[in-house]
Amino acid sequence: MGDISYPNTISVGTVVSEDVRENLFVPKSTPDSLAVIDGFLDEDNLASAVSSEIPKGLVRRGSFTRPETTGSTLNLDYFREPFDGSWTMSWDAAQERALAIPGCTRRFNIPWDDCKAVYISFRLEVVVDAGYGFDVGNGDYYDTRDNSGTLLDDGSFTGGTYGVNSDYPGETRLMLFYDGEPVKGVSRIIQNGVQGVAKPFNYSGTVDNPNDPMFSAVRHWSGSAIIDPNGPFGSGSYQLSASAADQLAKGFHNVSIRIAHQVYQVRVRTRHITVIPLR
Amino acid sequence: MPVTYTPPKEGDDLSVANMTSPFTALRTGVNALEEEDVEREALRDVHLPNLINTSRFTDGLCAVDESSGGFQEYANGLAMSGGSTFPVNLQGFSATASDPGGLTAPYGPLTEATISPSRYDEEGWRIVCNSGGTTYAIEVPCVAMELDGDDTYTGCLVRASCNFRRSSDSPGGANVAAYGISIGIGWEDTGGNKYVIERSVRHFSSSAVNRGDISTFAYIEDADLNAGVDRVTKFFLVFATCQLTPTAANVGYGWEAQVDNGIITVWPMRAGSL
Repeated sequence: MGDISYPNTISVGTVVSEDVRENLFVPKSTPDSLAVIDGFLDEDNLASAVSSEIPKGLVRRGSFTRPETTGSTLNLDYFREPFDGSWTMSWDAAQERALAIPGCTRRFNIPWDDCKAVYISFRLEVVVDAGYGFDVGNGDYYDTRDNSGTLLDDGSFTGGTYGVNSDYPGETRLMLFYDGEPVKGVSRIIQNGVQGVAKPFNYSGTVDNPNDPMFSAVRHWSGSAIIDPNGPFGSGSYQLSASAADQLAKGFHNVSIRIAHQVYQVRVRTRHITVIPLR
Repeated sequence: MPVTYTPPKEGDDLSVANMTSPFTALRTGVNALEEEDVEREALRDVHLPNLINTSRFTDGLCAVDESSGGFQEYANGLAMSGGSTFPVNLQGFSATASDPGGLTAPYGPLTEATISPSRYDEEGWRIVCNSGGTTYAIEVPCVAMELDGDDTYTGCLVRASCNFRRSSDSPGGANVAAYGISIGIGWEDTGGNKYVIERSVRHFSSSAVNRGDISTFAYIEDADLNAGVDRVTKFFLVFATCQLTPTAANVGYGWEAQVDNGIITVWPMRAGSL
């Protein structure tokens, strides 16, 4: 921006004083006169060697990165009520109803005009309580393991007359949102885990231990993504609607992991979400 | 660089000869400022080049699996270093030509494997990729570059992960102690040769991470590019199954595993001379 190339070339013929004045003093919309000295010097005015190797003496706190992080340690329980109603699970439907998860939500500031990318990293643990199974033939309730003790991981019972309680038919989906819009591909369908995380409901009267080392029901999601002008988020089915350049504009932005589900209860433990704008 | 020029004196002609030299000197001086030319800390962040020049990553710094609900079934076991004996060969890629979906080895799953404990279908790493073709591979291409600063960057911090959806042996099953899954970060040189950063390889018990995310990362420097000889053209995520407790009876034993939602991020670094 501040490259001094001079608006007028003084090379042949009679020197015009106005040309000299413009070269010296006149601020131009394209800052190419010596007027850039008055507060408009920038990268273009540095020695070329600096561009290939930035000297330590030039580095200032916050010049290149501005990391921020958030986390929490409490159990966050999401019951079915916020997601009640007659709706069929899909990515579109889940995105419309998704709630931001505290501890995995961050509002952050990009302080530069020329932000090149935003790095996002996060980690959380999820236990999905799918409710209870229902024996269609006998009208009995069963927990979410089959007769051999195998955890029924996909919410559907197999072999015989077992069925899923119609009150809790669905799935649990987590999604990364950036500036209020879903980021395509950065999402998870979380497999069901246990029955009775908070409320014992089990024909045997026992409560599952989600941390059981043999039948661990704690699902982990540690993810990362980079928003940049050339990245994968500018087109496709779950793109950010505006161009990535808008997502990198100077000012405040927000990022969050959101949840929508159609099960009985989902317990979330967030570890962190870290946002690093890169200049 | 000091700005040295001869200013016109009172009475000098306003001639081309008198003007050109000082203008040129001023332009050269101001366009090549160094820190010592100005008062300390006078230069602000706008005077600094960007830390990331994304022109070397024309497809972005990130790749994601866009299948959003689909998954891939891999049936490749880690290759062995000598036929069928340990130790494993962490540089071996699957050479099996292609699968019915048109994916070319070593991209994506070979077949739609049937989930049940069985021997592996093939040996060597596969690059995580859904059935949509290599367009959706979990890889980040870049303009061929060294990582010694001559090509802008002195290293790349690469992080990759995918969701381990299901194994062929349930947690608590008879073979769970022996079954493992492995991921790693690989790179390709200008000749199309593929390598794996061995320190990025992670082996997981299928019980420990059942239906959860598995991730790894590596800071890749010039020394990793075959001792600085080669240039990197892409980074990618590789996947294989493995056994964690090899015995003579089941060496080379692989199995099927389902994976979805792969993602890789590349953060190029300009560390300079630290």
